[in-house]
Amino acid sequence: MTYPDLYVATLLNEYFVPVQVNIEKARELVLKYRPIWTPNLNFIDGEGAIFYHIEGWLPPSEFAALLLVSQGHFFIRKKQYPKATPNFQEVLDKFPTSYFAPEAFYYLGVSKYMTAHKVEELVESWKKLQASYPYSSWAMRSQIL
Amino acid sequence: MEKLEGKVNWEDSLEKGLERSQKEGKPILLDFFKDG
Repeated sequence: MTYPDLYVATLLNEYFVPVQVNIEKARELVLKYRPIWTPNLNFIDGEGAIFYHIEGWLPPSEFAALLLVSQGHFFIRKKQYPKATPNFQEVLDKFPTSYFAPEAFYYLGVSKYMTAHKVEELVESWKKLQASYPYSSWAMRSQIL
Repeated sequence: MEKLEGKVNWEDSLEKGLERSQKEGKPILLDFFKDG
């Protein structure tokens, strides 16, 4: 099981506000967020806006990587770019084989670029992404450079 | 060796979650689940 995992529970309790509702009972929330399939995970800011969404079960290591990536997106949404960079780097350091690693690489470049506006940092991250995860959709998206 | 387990401190309503999110500056994970 994923939620009882000590690392997952620690990340959730320390860095998120975890809210769990039954899809068959939370009528107003179902009308607002329109979940169809469960598990249905919505990462929401303090104004109630979704900034990241995923469906389906994940094992603990993937879930932990998801939490780090989604928190990085939260910082980007708030334009706190320097705070996002360590999140994406941590995914690459701790979970390099994760499904979320290529996405972390992509946004590592974005957060660095948005912090310092040095295009060479974006290019360096994305070139490494293309070399490390050449068949990922994120490598494809980075090929605009 | 026994595996250490954690416990997630879930809120049971988004209203409470939003209040805490604004106060603590943290994002919310809203998990829709289904019994069974």
